[in-house]
Amino acid sequence: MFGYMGKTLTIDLTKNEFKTEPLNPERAKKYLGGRGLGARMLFDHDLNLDPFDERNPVILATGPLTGALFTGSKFVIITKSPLTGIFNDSYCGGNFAAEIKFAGYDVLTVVGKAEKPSYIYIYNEKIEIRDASHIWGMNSDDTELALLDELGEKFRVITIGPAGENLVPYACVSTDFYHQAGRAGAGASLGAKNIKAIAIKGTQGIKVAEPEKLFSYVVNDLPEMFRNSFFGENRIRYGTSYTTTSSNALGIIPTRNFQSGTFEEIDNINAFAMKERIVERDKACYGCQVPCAKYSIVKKGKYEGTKVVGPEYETIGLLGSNCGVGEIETIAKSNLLCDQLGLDTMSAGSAVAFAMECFERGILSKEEVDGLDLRFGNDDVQMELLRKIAFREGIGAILAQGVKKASEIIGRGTEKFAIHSKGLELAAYDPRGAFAMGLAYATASRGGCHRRAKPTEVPGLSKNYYDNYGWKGNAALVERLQDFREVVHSALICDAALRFGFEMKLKGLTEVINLVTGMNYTYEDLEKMSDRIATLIRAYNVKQGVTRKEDTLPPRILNEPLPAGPGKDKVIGQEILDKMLNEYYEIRGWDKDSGIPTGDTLEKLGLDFIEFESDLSKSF
Amino acid sequence: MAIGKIVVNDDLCTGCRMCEQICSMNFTKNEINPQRSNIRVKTNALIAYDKPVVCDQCEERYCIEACPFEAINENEKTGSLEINKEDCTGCWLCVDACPQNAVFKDLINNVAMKCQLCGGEPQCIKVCTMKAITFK
Repeated sequence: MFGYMGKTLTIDLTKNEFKTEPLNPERAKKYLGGRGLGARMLFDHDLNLDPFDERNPVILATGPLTGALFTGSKFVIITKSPLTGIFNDSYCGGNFAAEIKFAGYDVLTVVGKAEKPSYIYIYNEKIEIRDASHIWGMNSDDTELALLDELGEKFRVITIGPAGENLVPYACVSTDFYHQAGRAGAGASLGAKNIKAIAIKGTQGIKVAEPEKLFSYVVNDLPEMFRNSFFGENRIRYGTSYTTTSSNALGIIPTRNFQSGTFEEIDNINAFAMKERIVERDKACYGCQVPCAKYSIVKKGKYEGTKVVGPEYETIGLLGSNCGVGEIETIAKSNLLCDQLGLDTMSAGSAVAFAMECFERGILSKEEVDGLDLRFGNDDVQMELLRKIAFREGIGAILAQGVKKASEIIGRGTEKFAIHSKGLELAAYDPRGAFAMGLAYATASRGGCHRRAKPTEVPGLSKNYYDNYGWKGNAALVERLQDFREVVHSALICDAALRFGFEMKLKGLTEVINLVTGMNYTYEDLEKMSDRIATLIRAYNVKQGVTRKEDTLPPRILNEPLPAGPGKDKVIGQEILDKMLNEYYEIRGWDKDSGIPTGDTLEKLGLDFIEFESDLSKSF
Repeated sequence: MAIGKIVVNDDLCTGCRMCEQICSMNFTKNEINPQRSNIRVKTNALIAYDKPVVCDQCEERYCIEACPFEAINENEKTGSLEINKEDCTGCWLCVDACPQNAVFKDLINNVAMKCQLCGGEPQCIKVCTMKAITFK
């Protein structure tokens, strides 16, 4: 099997047992790898467990293209999210993904729970569960440094920080210090298993089907493709921070807990400010010709000396403008703090912004927030609150549960401005300035995520493709964008880098997948595969209780207009969301009333092993 | 004298390791494996610093001097210093001798390995879009 290492490894922490099995070729063909294969493997386990139940598997998956010359290599952590209770696939770049394959594995599955704090050691076939009492309690960076010191710098390490140890349901996983599997709590999933880190090193090679053709493709065609794209060029120059400018222009940059979509301090946090004031050099993930990560050093002010890769756009939006913070240097510091504590910068930023609004509106009194002066823009308090969240202290213990649960605990009407979908805090694009983004959030398989479809990235936004403030065409657009990501995230390479080369065309990707795997997929095969994976994951979520009712947006986003910007006074409203959803379910072949995949659709996609309890669909 | 050498500018290196991938693929003809590459990126991830390590075909020729088996010779056409697999015994004296740390161990075949300039047309520089490695 070209592109694959042909082996999966299951690590049972409770029994201290390791099992290597051949990769099932049928499944590889049907689900490719990464997201698709990992989701299918979830179905081998009990689907009704609590996210922190020790029998719940944490699956680390790569795909056939990972580490195989092609455009960034990522691995995905797939498990049931402790934040949302539904499917979580959290991706991470850096060098760890390729190293999993060099060690000889396509997928690592971790089940059970270690007796005491431990880390997993993997060197090819040698696997050990080792004592981690000396690193337990350390922040992410110190943990990685300690393990690199102990094992040698050739090892690649993923770690969790204090937030992961304390089971904060939006704790992240870090590698190479600055790369994170950020969203929906993969760090807590490992923490619940008493796993502080995984260290891996391998010596095996990845074999590809058509080495000469692939070689020529990568040497001759690929660099040109990236260089000759407007997006590619900007991505190399500024990284994701370039999005700040376009988002502010569209009026969709979250500001003060999504109370506005334009930020008056934008010039102090945008790509140009960042490049001029803090960026030192460019950094790439393994195998990527688009070095979009920016190593930054703060050179002045009270955060002088802060060193971090980033901040990325989502961090700038959610820890920056969304908290009313208008200095790129401050955002670099809070970014680093989150990385070290092991917190997702996005959900953490959203939680802090939510608390700030509660405080400014007088809903939370000063006593209730531990005496902190929780005004928007107060960066000292922001940093203190992030620490409190990671250690679950005082008000931090409430905010550590995510804005959905925090608003349920606080009550007093706060659920109206708890900005999440299915429990996952929204990314830094306010859908009120691009209605299709609303559908993307409402239907994203892990909740309010921008990485499953991002209509705002489509060039020629309002003119050629769809109406920014209408519903027509949105469903087809979102479905198409999601389908592309289903394949890229299964292949598994970086979706952000890839789109510059291929301008979102699955056809180019088909060619490369065939060069690596030799499977001779047709474009239609991959189209069907993307539908299959989307429906498979939907079925998983349906079994967790997700139906049409849950495919929605927070009340503020749905019903309140933006106060300024191009989207001023426009309201999405339930009616437009319903129209988009109706069309979307029809394209997907899911039942319109319930949002549940129909029997015909399951059969057509080869998913007939999935059955829903009959009373589930009757209740609608 | 070699016809040219690979010149490294570490300021421009992003640590993407495309050079390693392309080199191992070209060298082995069938696999991508950093362990079998003649160029290797040394990384300090904490400060996001990366530097490709590769033979600069130096005139001092420490590796030739160190080899007791005369297994390293100059390629007549390109002037690059090349290891003859038949004669190499895997004693690693050349690996120790190289001040650049640019001679590596091929543990699969138990022979030393180093950059041979791909017969005069180094492939790694073609994928280095940042121009951190160039052939001069």
